[in-house]
Amino acid sequence: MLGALLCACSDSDTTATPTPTPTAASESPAWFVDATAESGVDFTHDAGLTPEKHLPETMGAGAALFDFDADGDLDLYLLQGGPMRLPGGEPGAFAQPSGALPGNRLFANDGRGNFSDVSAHSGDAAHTGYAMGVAVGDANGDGHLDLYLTNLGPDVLLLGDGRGGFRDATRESGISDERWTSGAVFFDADGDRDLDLHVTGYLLVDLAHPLWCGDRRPGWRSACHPDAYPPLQNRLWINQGQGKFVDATVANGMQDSWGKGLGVIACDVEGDGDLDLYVANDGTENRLWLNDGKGHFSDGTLISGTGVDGRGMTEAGMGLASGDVDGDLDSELFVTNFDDESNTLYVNQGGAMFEDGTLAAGLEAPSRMPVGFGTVLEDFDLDGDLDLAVTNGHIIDNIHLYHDGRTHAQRSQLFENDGRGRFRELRDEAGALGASMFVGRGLYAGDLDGDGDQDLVLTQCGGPARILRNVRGAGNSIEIRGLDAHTRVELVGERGRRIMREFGPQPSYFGACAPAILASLGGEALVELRVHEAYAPARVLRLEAPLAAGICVLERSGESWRVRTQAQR
Amino acid sequence: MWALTLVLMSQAWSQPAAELWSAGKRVEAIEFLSVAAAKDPKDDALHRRLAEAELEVHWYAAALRHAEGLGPQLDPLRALALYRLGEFERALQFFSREDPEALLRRIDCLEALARFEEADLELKRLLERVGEGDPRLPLLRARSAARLGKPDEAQRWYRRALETDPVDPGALFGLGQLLVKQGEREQGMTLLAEHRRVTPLIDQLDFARRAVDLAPLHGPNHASVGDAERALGRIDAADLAYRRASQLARPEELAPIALRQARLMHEDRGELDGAVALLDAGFERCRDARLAVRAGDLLLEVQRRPEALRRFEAAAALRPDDPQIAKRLREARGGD
Repeated sequence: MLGALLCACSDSDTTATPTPTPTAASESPAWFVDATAESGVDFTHDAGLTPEKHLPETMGAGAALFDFDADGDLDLYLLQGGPMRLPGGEPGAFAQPSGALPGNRLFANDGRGNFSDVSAHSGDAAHTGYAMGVAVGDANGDGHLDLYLTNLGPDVLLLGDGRGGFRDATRESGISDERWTSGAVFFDADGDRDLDLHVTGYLLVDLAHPLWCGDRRPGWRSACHPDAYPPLQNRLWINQGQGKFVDATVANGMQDSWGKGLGVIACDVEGDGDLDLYVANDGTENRLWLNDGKGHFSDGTLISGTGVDGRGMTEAGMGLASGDVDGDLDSELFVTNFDDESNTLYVNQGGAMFEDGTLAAGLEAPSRMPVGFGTVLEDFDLDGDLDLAVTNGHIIDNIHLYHDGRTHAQRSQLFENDGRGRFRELRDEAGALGASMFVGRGLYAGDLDGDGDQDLVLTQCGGPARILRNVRGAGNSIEIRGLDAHTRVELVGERGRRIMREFGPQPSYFGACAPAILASLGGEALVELRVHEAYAPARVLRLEAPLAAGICVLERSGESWRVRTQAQR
Repeated sequence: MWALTLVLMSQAWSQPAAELWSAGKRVEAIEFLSVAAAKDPKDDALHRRLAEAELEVHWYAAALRHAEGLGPQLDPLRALALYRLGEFERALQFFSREDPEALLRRIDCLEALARFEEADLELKRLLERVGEGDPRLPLLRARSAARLGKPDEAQRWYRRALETDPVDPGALFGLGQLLVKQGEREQGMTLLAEHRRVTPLIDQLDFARRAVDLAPLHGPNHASVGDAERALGRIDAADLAYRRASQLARPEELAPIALRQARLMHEDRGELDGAVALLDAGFERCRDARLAVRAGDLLLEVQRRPEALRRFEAAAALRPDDPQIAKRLREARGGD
């Protein structure tokens, strides 16, 4: 139900970052230009390739866009692999190699998309585990953002100090997970206002006894299909306050969560005010876990239709995004998959029921050949609907030997929404996103340069990270700030148009996009916000004056809310 | 499909290539044909064989290159190669409207391109070609009806599909979902639960088939298909796969295959003598004591002691110190 109707104040406070200089891109149709070189981000992922072609070499790694020092811009944390881990004492256990190992790296943003490497001053953030994924959230409730790292080997909880320093607090947190973990998300499972944690387990691999897959001819050995390995169970860690966690996987109903998990997203798919979980499993049925509002989960996969594609077949679920693709004010789920499959768009029908809408959305044919990983649903061109970007890359580095139409590095894809949930692939317009071939893994959206549109960070397996600056949508966005993670917001326009957007962080693949809403009402000025925070009554906030573009900051004092707007960035 | 049918045996390239191919050296056969093709760019028969061979090993772009200029008789090859390369729009130019297999792929292309009305027209054409009784039709008709907002008709076709194949994942899932949406929740959930049960088995089958596709002459790959088919309750298909596996297996690969084949014969078909015959034949080929022991066990179960004893003795001759075989020998002799 709707809660208090609160008035908002408008002011002309214009302390935002300066508008960046327009680029030559206005003469070009390209939506994205490669800004890696000038950004200062010089990071190359080391997959630790071995002749044995261990599967973990093919899967990493992720990244996170978050404001670690609360200075109002997005900083960047990039995950590193390094030499392949050594076999541990038993199958599925791993040991750290000796010698110097490359660590994860933290880059601070100056607010204009210029980054400097602050890893050396970041304490334990320069962690040297063989990293897979990262989740971002304030785990201990001290007001500073923390990180949870999934690794091939022991996972790590890093507590942030709000100034760029991080401390390994894994042991004191009660969390212990030394398996091959993959996706992770901080979210409030039980409505107690602290952040709980869900971690997906992937596969039980035995590095001591690597399987041989592919042809025996020299040069033809390949990484094995995940079907060759047993699955691991996902884990739900409930926060008991101040960042002390207990494993509640079984107690809270998720005992049957053995599914080769990769992506996980927290999202209120039912619209009942709590946060559900959707897990993308690789080659086994995806799982939708429905929350009872108290952190107990039941398996809603069967009835929801989200476990398999519309033909009843499992797919190799990897990256995830959610968002209102068709403009009916609920969240669709989008999953990236392997080649010979398609990516899958599950269209929300209400009541936690979905339909595979991939074909009708025009997303089937373009996604049959690529291997999809990171994905984001964002309004890149700020025309009022959610567009789609996907980064692709095969896991088998010699796939061309087995299929001459397939390549290890692949083109990333950009799709424009027609406003009704039908997509058209943009080739030339993708610009730097689609112009080069990447072994794409992560793709993360965030306004890196403070110009009011969503830029992208692309991570590769065994290749350099890329900074892709959006030069299409600048200037006319409405940004909503001051929301809790995973809050849904309806934006109401002066002529009655309504759109729904989710405040992240969205996981894409193995990471965290910026928690942000950068929206457009397609030419209408914003007059009202309907805020659906998890575990709280919905609130209607009317703006004192219509806002055509600019920033809308929600400020709270107890139960009282205030909206401050600024028309210029 | 596109078997390498080398009919022009008078050509210098044909026999060596055929020999390499039938020995499982498919890449080497293609390399041989490629060298020959480079030397003789005007030999259409050679280029055709090369393109066909490339298609079989998933070298679709190469197949298209070598099919260039070879006339419309290679349109089916072009269609399939383009389809496998995800070039659905171009593939449609080459897929026949007469051949049922090509029509099935035309429908898939059109659906992938979200051209549903054309897909439905092709479905009608397919129906005209193959007739009402074709087992591939009900599922396609169900999906089309569901898309067109005709749930009752969709339900009818889904049920027809399940009559043909009770574990068809598309039909189980489609009908289950449809029933739930129509308010028949309990019945729908039963089907969805069955779908969940069979899905890993379907995946197992799919995985095994991919392995066969990569290495079609490797016997154990066919045995894996047999395992998956058997797990799904498709006994005839499993039997066929095991037989193929047995034919292709090298002696050192044979024993586990023969054991599984015999198990199917005994447990699923209830044919004990058939199972024993399979084990005996396998034993003759690979001299693996496990096969003789298993045959002896089966015979001992039905008190055919002298026959069992012969098998255990044969096993003991190979493994004279094996205490398990010694125990069985005593049992067969009536000692235990």
